[in-house]
Amino acid sequence: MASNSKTRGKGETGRNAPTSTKPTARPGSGGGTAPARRDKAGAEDRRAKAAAARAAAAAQERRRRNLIVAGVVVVVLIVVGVIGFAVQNSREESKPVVLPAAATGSHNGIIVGQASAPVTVDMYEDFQCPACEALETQTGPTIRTLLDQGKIKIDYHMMSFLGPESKRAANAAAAAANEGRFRQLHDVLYANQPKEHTGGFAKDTLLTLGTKAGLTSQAYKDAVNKGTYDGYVAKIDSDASKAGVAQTPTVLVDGKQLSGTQLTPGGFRAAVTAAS
Amino acid sequence: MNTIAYRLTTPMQPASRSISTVLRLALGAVWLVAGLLKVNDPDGMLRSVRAFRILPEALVQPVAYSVPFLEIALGVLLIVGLAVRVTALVSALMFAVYIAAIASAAARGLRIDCGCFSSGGDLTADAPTHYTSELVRDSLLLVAATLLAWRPDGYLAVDRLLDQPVNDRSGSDADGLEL
Repeated sequence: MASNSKTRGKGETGRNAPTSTKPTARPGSGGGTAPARRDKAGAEDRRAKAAAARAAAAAQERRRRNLIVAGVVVVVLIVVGVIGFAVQNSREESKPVVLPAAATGSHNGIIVGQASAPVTVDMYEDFQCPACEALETQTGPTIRTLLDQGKIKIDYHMMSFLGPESKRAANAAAAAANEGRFRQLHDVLYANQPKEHTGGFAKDTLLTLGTKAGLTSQAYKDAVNKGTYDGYVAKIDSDASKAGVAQTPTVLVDGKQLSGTQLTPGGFRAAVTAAS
Repeated sequence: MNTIAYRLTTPMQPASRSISTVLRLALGAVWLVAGLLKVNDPDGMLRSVRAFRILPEALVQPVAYSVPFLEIALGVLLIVGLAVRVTALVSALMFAVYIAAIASAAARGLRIDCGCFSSGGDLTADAPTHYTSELVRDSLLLVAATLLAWRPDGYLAVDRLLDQPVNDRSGSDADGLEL
């Protein structure tokens, strides 16, 4: 390090100055003879050598210390990473996965519609996602018509990455699926979507919205309040993410992902017709 | 000899030290903020890391869980000024990896949020990507980290306390104060 050598240089001269005056004073008092002068030169030489050796030793000691500090810091960084991993891992207490009755789709998606329908539509949505709400408002009626006509069945994967409100809503939807009323609650929730990141879909709200969807049973209330399907909700989200779904809404018609323009009523209908 | 370039690049010149200090504190603050914004959302981090589709599934979780902590640790070390050269080098390495990851995502046409200062951003279909600004920002940070690794000696750093002379027999000479 250039910085060290510079400060060291200053320090060395400062430290040697007082000690070097004393010994030279003694031979000097005995007169300026030739051997004395040689002694003086030799002594200075020795001192210089000793100083250089000290400086070298100090520099080496410094390098060693710097290396130790660097090594310790690197080890600390690694340990911090490992501890962080352990902390986050323990935070993710894995809740038991309770499957609702209708979770018979791929990756335990919730199946809606007639089993005999020729085309399967995979829907990846989040109850709190505004783009999903837009899709439901715009293309929802077309989707419902095709469902009722028995042309499609839908495999719903309700993701939950927009905060705890997403998770609460998805848990309520799973409870509704268990009573065969997923579709009803799904539509009610999108019709009453709160603003993002405002802590919407509180448990009370979900109970109220549940009654609108015909969900008044004690089982539904308990599931909403206790988060019975939290484990299932987490599994759906994680499976969807692993399947490469990086955005919602993601819609697949017989396994083929629809583009943005195919999410319009006309585009969706055309994609379904092409698949059947 | 005392040209502006000399003052800016010579280790013990006040100008060089001041710049080094500013870079160090700024980088430290960036790490701290980046780490703290992500540390409370492990799920989101999982999704962000997975969305790059670079790491195998077995590595997604370890990386996603440990990176925020690593970033916070780097931030603290830089702000305190401990082992600045090493932390700056590690920072530069991490920025280089981030740049490569974002560039690769952009090149493969993935539409993702880099999850740099947040995790699991809004992944809605029409959300715009910001690859260019993300790459420019990370490149600037990479340059800053490299400069800091080159000239780690700033003011207000623990390193300066540790870097006092070894075997200082005289105890309190000018050397100690000089630092």
